[in-house]
Amino acid sequence: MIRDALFLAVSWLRSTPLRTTVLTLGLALALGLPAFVQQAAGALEDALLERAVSSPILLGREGNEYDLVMNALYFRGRVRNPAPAALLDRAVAADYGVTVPVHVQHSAHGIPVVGTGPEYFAARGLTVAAGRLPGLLGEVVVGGGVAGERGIVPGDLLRSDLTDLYDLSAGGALGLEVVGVLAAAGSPDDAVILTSLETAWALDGALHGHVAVTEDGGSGLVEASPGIFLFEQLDASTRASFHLHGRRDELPVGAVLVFPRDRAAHDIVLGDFSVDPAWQAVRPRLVVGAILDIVLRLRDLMTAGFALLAGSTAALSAVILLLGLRLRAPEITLMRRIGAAPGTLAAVVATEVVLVLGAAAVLALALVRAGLVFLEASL
Amino acid sequence: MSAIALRDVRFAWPGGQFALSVPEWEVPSGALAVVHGPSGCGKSTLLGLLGGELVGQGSVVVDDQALQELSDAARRAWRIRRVGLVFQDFPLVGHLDVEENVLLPLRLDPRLRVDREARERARALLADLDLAAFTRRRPAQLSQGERQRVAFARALITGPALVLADEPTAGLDPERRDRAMDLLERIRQEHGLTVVVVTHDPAVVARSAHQLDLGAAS
Repeated sequence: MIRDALFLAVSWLRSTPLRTTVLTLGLALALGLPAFVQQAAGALEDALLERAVSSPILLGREGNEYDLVMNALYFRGRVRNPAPAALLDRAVAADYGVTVPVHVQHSAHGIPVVGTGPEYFAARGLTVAAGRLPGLLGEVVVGGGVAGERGIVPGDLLRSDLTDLYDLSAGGALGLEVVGVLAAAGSPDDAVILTSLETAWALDGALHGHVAVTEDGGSGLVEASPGIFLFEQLDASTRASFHLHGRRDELPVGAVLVFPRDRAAHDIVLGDFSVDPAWQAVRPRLVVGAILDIVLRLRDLMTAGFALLAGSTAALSAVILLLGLRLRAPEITLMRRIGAAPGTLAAVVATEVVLVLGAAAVLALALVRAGLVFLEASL
Repeated sequence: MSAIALRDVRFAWPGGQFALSVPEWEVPSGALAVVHGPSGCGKSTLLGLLGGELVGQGSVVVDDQALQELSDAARRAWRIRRVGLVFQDFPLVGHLDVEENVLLPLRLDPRLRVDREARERARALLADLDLAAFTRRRPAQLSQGERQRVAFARALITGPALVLADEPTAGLDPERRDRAMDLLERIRQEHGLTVVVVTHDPAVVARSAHQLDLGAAS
């Protein structure tokens, strides 16, 4: 009976392709949209929370904590009003645990360049898929995601982007050597270039290299002029000439990521910086939680909207199905008069509904899946 | 031996606006019987009673089966297997091709199956009715005469003992009417069937020796 009901239902659905397609698509959207909103909000929540939870405390200058978290943890733009190296030195001296600078000011080929310390890789669980981690000035390692997209491999040379054409004190574009590609981690680290803090300072223009200047007749004075050739490449041939003018502790580090060794150290960090008006110690989980609260409210609002849409689509689909039954009334009457039992006729009609709903569910699942893949790629 | 035996049959639609009464009527096995009378006299209602579609009072025995003794489900199962029905205007299922229309009764009873044997039987019936080349056509692609023959083939697919035809010549010109009745007669003789035709056409009535005039009966 099921085979025959299936045959008759499929035959009917195939004979009305436009109606079947519209019905299936309508139901797929009605089912898929609320499911997608739920899943997408969940994925966003997971992605944001995972990063926030794995970053216990972030130190920076007093200011907007949302900006600090978004820029220093998720690399969504430069860290504005960056903290100086003195903050890093103070945190290191206090020995809270693992302390890592996060310098986010530059980019190369549009990819953010993050200056940090070697501890960052271990603290984030990042491993190298090809090549090695950067060890020397001018060496960089590229996140697995962006390296795959752009086809970047160890040995490539990346030129940093000019930060400000009108700032003569700013560093010029520098050639950076790719020495490694990281394994994809499913985090914002996949989409950035990581290098040493010193290389980031070179990009700032604080560290620079140039041709040897001439000494003026043994007087100890050197001749310096705008005509001095500044190196545009940071490699083995120029590396030794790069040097710093000025005080190291005044150079920008952006923000400082602290992984306290224990609960007591965690509380001490927060205590130390809560009384100092120049700095702030931010707990990213709380900041992201506040953002997620807005996202979740938006999700509930959208879910309610889509639920209404789903309800109206379901009602419309029911009307279309009932109209279809009306169109089939002569056929159903014929089957009844030949001798079909009410159960047989109900099975034929129910099979049609189940087939349409099944196809719509499969399509909705595919739409949700495709949407989530797209979302994951964009996150 | 009687294929049909009616005794004191009475039927009234709910509300009692119409009543049918047949004191006695018998049709011998293998005969062509005709039920006739003016419009509205209950011809189609009687066909419903003979096919077990309707149940009235009195005794309706068809093919040795007392229909009033059967449950609704048993009557439906009996009808689908023992009675071939040809409806007025020869309705077919529009989204099924000719062969599938013929096989339709087999899909409506869980105890019957559309297997290779059934398909061969359907094709043989269609070939016998000059429809061998039309098996994959849709009803919309058929002429009225072709639809009529498909309806006959569908009525015969379960190997019934009785064929009930409701106004099979309605709307046909005399030549086509005669051709349709010749075909029905041939089917009756070749398959050894009892055929009951409902009509108000005197030319069709004249073809049968077993007539029931419901106009006179009422």
